Amino acid sequence: MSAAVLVVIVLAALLAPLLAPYDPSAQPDIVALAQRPPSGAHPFGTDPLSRDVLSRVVHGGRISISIALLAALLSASIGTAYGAVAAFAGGVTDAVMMRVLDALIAIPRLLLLLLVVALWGAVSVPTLIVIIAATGWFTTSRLVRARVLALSRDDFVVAADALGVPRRRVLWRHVMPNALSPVIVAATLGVANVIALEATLSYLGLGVRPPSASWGTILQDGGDCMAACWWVTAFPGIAIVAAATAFNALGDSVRDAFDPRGEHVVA
Amino acid sequence: MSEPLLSITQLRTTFATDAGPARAVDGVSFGVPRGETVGLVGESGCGKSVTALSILRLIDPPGRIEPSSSIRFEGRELVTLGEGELREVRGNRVAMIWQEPLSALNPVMTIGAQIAEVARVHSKVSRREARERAIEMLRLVGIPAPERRVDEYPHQLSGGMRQRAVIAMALVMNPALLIADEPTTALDVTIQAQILELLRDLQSRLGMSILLITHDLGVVAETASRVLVMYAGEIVEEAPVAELFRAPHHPYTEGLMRAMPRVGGTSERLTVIPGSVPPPTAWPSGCRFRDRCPYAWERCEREHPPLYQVGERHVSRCHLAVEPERRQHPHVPLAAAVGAESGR
Repeated sequence: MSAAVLVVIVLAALLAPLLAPYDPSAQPDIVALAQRPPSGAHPFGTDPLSRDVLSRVVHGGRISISIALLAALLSASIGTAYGAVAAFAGGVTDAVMMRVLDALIAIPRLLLLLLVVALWGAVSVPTLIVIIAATGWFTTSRLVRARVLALSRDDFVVAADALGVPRRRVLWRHVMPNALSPVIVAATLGVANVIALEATLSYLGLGVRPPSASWGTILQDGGDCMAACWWVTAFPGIAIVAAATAFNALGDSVRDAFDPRGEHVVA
Repeated sequence: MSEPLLSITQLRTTFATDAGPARAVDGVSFGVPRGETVGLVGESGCGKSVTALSILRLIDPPGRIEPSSSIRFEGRELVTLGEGELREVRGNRVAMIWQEPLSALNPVMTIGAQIAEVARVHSKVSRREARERAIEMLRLVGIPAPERRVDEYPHQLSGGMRQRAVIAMALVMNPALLIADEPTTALDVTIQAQILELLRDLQSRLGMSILLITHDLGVVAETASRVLVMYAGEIVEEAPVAELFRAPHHPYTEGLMRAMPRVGGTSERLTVIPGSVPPPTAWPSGCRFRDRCPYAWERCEREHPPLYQVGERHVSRCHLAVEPERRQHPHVPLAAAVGAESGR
C-alpha cells in the first residue's frame, strides 16, 4: 500500500509539468476565479489568488520531495563522517566529539532551525537544504560510531588484521560497508521527518518563499481562509501526511530487510 | 639441530584489569619445527588462544606482551617488530584460521574478493590474477565448482565450505606457519573429520607447520606430532603425541584423557576434572593445579614445580617426577571435597 503511494507521489513530482493542468503560479482572474471549490475544471479548487491548487500541489511536491531527499542524504553523510571519525580516532578526540554532540542533541531541532533561519533572513532552497541537514545528523552519527566500535571487535575485522590487510583498507573495505545499514534506515526515516519539518518552516514563512511553492507554502496560502476555502489547505495537507507516512513505512521495511532476526512485515 | 621455524621463550601476556594484572600467559616456552604439527591443548581460560594471538601481536590494550618475552620466527623477533614489517609477516608468512568460520568472513564481500584481497595486499598481482589465484585456492581446499563459488557470499556456503574458504584465505600466500585456533569446534563431527583431513593433506603438499589449538585431545591425536598441554597460563606437559597418550605424566593431562569419550570404553560415565581453572588475576602459589589434583601434598603448596624431564623429549610440571610413589595413593581433590560440601 505505502509502496504504491510512494510511487504515485514520486512519479507526480517527476512528471509535474506534464500532469499539472495549469501553470502553478498563473493568476488567471483574481476576482472571478478566486477561492472556487473543487470542480471538473479545478479538481482541487483554486486559492485566494485564483491559482489552481492541483497544479500547485503537484509542483510543490517536486520542491518538498527534493528538499527532503537531498537534506536526508546530506545529513546522513555528515552523520556518518562525524561518527566514523570519532570511532576511528578514539581517546580524547572521541570523548570531545561526543560531548559536543551531546550538547547539540540537547537543543530542540525546531528551535535550532528557527534560530538559524531567523539569523540568516530570507533563505534560498539550497541554503534551506543545508540548514535542515546541518541540524539533522546528530543521531545518525551516534549510530555510526556505536556500529563502527562494535564492528572493530568483530572476528572478520580481526581476521583481516591478522592476514596483514592494512588498517586503512580494513576500515574502508571491511568496517564501513557493514556499518551502513543503520544509516540507510535512519536516512529513509529522515526523509519523512524532513518533509514535515520543511512544511512547518514554510508554513511559518521561514522556509520556501514565493514564487516557489512547496507543500508548506501552499498550506500557508490557505491558512487565512481555512473555513471559507478548506480545499486550499486540505489537499497539500493530505499530500504531506501521505508522503511522510509512506517514507516512514519504507524506512521500516528497509530496517526489516537489513535485520534478518526481526519479523518481516510487508509494507 | 637447526633452529625451529617458531621459537617462543618466556612469553608473558598480561591484561590490566580492575582486580590487578591478569597473567593470561605466564612464561610459556616452546618451538614449532618446520613441517610439523604441534598441538596446544587445554580448557577454556588456560591461555592457549592468547598465546596464539600473541604470536601475531593481535593483543590490544589493556593487554600487553611483556618486553622480556621472545617470539622468534624465521630469524626475526616478532615482539619488537615494527608495524610495517609485522604486516608483511601476517597473512604472508604466518596465517591464522578461526573457530567460527561465518563470523571470520566479511558478510558483504564475496569469498573470492576476500581471498583475492590477501593476495593483492602481499604481492603485486593484478585484479585478474588475484581472482585466478582465488579460484585456484578454492579448488585446492576442495570447494566444488570454484569458478562459480568465487562470486558467492559467505551466507551462501555451508559451515564446512566456509571453513574451507577461511583456510583458502589463510593459505593464499603459502605461509610457513598456520595457526589454527579450534578450527573444527564449531563444525559437525563428519565435517570436522573432513577439515582435519584437508589440513593434513595441505600440510604435506605445502610443507607448512601448523600450530593447532584445541580443547579436544582426539583432534590432537589425529593431527599433531607433538603436544603441549597448557594449564593456568603455563605449559604443564610436553611430549611426542604417542608418548603422551601412552604415558601421560601430569595429573591434569591424565584427567583430560579420562574425560575423553572412548569407543568400546568400559566405564559408563566420563570422569570430569573437579573445579575449574582459577582466575588469571590470582594464580595460586605453588602448583596451580593442586586444588583439583588427586595426588597433591604439602610440597605442591610450598613449591612451584619446574618442568621436570620425565622421558626423552618429555617434560612435566609435576613434583610426582621426583616422588613417583605418591601416585599410588590418590585422594579426593580439594575442589571436589569443597564442591560436594557446598552442593549439599
